Amino acid sequence: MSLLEISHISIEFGGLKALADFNFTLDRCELAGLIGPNGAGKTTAFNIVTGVYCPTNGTIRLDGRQIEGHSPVSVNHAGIARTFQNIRLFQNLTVLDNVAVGFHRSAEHGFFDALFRTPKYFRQEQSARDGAMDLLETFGLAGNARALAGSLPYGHQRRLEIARALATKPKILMLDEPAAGMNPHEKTELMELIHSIRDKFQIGIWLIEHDMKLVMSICQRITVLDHGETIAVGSPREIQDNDKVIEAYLGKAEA
Amino acid sequence: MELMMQTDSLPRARFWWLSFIHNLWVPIIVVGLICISRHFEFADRPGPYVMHVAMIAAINIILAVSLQLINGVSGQFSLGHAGFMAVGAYLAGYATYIFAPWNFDPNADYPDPRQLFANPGGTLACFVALAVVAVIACGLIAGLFLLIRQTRKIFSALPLILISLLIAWVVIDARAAADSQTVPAGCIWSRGAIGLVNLYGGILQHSQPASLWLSALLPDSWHKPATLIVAIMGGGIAAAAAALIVGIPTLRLRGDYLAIATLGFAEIIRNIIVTIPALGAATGLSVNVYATKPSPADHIFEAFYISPWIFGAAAVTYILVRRLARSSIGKAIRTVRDDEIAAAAMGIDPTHHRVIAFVTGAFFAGVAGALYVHLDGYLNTNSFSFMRSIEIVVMVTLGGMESLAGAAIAAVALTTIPELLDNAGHFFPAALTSQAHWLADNRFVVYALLVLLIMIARAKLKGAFWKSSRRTPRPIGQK
Repeated sequence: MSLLEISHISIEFGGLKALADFNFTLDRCELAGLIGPNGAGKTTAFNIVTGVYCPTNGTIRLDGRQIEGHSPVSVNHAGIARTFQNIRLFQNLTVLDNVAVGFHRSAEHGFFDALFRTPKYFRQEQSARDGAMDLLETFGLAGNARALAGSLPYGHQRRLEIARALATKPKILMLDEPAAGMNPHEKTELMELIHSIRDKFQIGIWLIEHDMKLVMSICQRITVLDHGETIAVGSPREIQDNDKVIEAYLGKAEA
Repeated sequence: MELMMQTDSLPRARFWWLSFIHNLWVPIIVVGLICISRHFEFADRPGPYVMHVAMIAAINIILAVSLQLINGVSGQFSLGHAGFMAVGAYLAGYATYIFAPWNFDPNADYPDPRQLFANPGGTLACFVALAVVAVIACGLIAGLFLLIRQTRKIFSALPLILISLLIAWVVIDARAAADSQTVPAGCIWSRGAIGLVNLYGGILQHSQPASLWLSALLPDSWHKPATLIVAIMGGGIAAAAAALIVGIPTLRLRGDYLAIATLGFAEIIRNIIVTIPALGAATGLSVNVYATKPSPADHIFEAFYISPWIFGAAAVTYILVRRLARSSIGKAIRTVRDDEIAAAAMGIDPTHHRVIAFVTGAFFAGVAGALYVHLDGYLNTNSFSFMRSIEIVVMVTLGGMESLAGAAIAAVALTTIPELLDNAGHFFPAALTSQAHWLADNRFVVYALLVLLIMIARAKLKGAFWKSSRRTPRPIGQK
């Protein structure tokens, strides 16, 4: 049984079928990609899995537990973390705090512990800070820990968002266009980073990306969407040779 | 305190030590404030007028700092702070007025001053009885609403229809009960309400021996302080409970809509108080105060005067709110303010954290109200009008978003400056006195102008010096 099992998901906004009969599985330590032209429904698929939208039909299971229709908060608690297409950092918090809040669990962090500064409070703050610093070191951001997140350069912000998502200790990390707006050098670094994350944290990674070079080189399995329909699933080589995929991206060849 | 410690695991004793160090200076500050206020109460200078202004300023610090938690840290725009203050003030004042005198005689016009504030158990019983009644009433109403919500499975518009019918039924029921001498048997809502009021009275009556026994457990010199503590905590918790009831439906609203909802709530509170005879209705509630100057021979607890409590509460409020804002809960509250969707994706429940900020802020507003009533001794719903809320919002705005110290300074400034202008004759040349009086009378015009100027200036300066959390340099790269 796979870690994440998505079966027969579909969603309609009014009359628009944004996603139809979408199936997907992801295993631990697997790196999978989701590609497709603009408006194909990639981000919609991510939003359904992370609980932003409730699917019209279908089921999503994480570790055998049904999670479809759950709130984003409980989906995250179940073990799915994500980044966003347009960076959504907490701009007014420091880099360290952005990651440290990922360790915050309202059930464990006592309100009165914070008010009266009990030993438990210090223990938790310390462990959150330590965990956050560890993550920042992994991502090469430790030197900027005290800077405001909004003041980081773009590439750093992208990396910080991934670090922040990992702070919630997910089983699955979903990256929505992690390389968008990066220069080729930064993209190469990002590719290595994604590989090292998977190996270090032993998690499944599912990413949306427009940069074909990046997707083809790091993903073991790729799903291609077009107008909400799944048109191809397979290894990078299979996808590259698939006629439907070429048609979706480049249009039908004149006969 | 920003700790940048070694990342290797530390011994547990280290955290006990940190906790001890961080809490050590809280009692030192409170005792210091008690000594200072005791000194000034006994001394001839600066006199009761200045002391009174200082105490009002301290109450305003509590209000401004707690509203800063709601408006600044959590980014909600609440205009109902005076409403929560009213809840705390009226309930605490009523509890100490009726129940705190030992062996109270409701028919006596003036209770024996020696017996005032002598019965903490009675005050506690009053709040417990109120809590029991409130929990039963809220439980019944919430259960009914949840039941009605279930009917949407039958037909999606059914809950709305049922709720409209229910409200109409309650109104007709109340009208019918008000029109007749005896409440008709059919008026189950009115009968239920009367039953709850009777339950409240019954609990009070039957708990009287227990409350007297409880009070007698304390040494004599502790009766008055204990009564005030019970009243302050009770007022705060009542305000927090009111915030919870208001918050659950309204905190889904954003920005302007939340402001309107909280404003409406504050007005509802005022209008409910006006209809309750026990709370003095429209004539206001006169309660017991100890405004008399203590004689120097009095023991520190026997010489009961309010100033150390007010100053101490202001200090404690500031410390606690600051701790909350700096803890990981405070950071989580800020993430919800900055980006709710991202916060939810990080597993931070937006509603939960918004409610925490809202309820905590309301608690301290209730505390401020409880202190205010025992300072002035007279309450009128006009003291908790819309303009009172606006005054607190102006303090928060002047102080700068998120800055607790700024809010406290603005609270002091906005309390003392009008008083200075009122007494301009003592400070200014005679030619300017009438202008100063005019300014003091029309201070809301000045407030409006100030807020306007700040908004324009802030747009230009972009938080150059208003924002407290902007100490970190912002050099790196673009954006």
